[in-house]
Amino acid sequence: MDVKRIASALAGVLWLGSAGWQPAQAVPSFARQTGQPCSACHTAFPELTAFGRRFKLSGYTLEGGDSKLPPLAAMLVAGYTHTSAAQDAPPAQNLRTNDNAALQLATAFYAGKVYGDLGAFVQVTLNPVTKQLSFDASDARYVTNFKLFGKDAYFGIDANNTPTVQDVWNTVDAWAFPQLSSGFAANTVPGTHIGALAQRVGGAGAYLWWNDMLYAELTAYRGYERGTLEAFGLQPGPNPDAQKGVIPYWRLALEPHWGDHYLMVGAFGMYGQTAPGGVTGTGTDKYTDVGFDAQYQYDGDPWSVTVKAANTYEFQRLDSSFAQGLSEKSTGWLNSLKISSSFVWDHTYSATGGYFNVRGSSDAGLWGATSLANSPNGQGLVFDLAYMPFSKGAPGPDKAFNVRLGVQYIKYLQLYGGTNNFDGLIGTPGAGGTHNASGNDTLFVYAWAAF
Amino acid sequence: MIKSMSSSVSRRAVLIGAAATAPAFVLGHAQANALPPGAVNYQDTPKGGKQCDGCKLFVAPSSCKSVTGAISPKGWCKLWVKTE
Repeated sequence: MDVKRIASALAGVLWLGSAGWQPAQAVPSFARQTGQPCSACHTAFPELTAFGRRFKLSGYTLEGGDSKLPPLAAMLVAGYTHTSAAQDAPPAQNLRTNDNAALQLATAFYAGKVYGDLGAFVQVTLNPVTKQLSFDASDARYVTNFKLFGKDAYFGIDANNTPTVQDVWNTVDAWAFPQLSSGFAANTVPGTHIGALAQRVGGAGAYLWWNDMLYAELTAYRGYERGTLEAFGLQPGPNPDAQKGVIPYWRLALEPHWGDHYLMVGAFGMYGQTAPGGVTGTGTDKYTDVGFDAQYQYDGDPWSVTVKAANTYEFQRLDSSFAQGLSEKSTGWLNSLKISSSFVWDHTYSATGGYFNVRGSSDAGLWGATSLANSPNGQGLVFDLAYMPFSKGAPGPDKAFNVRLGVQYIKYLQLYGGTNNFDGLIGTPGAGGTHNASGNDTLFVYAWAAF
Repeated sequence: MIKSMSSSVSRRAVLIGAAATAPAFVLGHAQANALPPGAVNYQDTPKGGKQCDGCKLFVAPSSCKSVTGAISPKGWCKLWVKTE
């Protein structure tokens, strides 16, 4: 039982370390550089409009603004988190087991044109609760344009530290809804390998954006060594997983549009090899992720609608985990589905609803610590209402200042293969209600300021 | 031996490919930081009383800081920003 409790706590920490701190691309330095209001690039920040996607694809270098300031910006997120049941232990030092109000993150950006056709979106984030500074999801890109078969083409070379942060659609891991969530909630569903590598790899690749419609990309990543993980503030612990060899990532997308109606259908994938715990001599675990996604956006005025779906299937060959006794079987699979839809009025009021569903093979070694059914299966609903009063320009000297005031609710329908007592811990001393799926239902009231 | 053949075929394929695709590429760097008109829903006519010669991005007589190609003073696109 002790092992289960430790693993359950670890799952909570992983949740804090990943899903709670997503990258944000609503950056006022972009607005100052282009002379455009936030609403040009965002339906409701950070979700991108068609122009926002093209600004990013062309390398963050488009100008037009009068600002002479360097491309620096900052962001603060404060929030109040209430889970349906109190957690067994406070989610972080100086916090309580429930009803926590805290400054969740403070981020500094270097975002905009660096020189010529070189642009960057680089962020360093401070977690004010843990006082931990980390190198957040970032990318830098050099983009040139030319004619290919008589059509406009943009060729970009991109370097980044988070697979899918370079993407321009809000379907893939780094940008999927909800882009912001509480850092102090309890359990959530597991994810695929692509998401697990966020900020833990460095990679470089190339992409082509042709005829304002076709996107093709190939990027190769390498995992960071333990020293690099520590230097970047990722707190890897004494025995972090080691990412072995080159990790290829590929992406194809087609975005035809008819007036203000934009449709995207795409596919993406990755192959990664991991040595759990950095152990040598037992081979590696191999993950092959293949995803399909689609997005429809009516990018109109004064309202917009965005509907998104992404499904990622993961083949797992767990040679190392099996040899180390960490998994019951040597093969497995995981499937992650995310669907969401948002309605935005005048770039000021947004309402978003989403559904997530994770299914996977059962394995006592992989999931037994958090699942009575040895299962990763989970599903739930996410609702978000937000008010962004300054998307079309703020009063005062900095017209690019913006704020998002929101209320978000996550409803868990299933966690780790169960609804009630999914990990079998209810009844043990100190175990609270977050061992029921509904006990993890999370209300998050937030204020997100960017300047 | 296999490696050598593979290398040879690969080199020839690259040369043939380069020759075939060369006419398709027209390299130009005039406005690398600007977007094509279709990417910003450019139209040759005004919209809602807004037109390019009233936009701060317009460069008389017929171009734009942010959009490539010939731009009509009477045109409009999504980047329209009022001249201050």
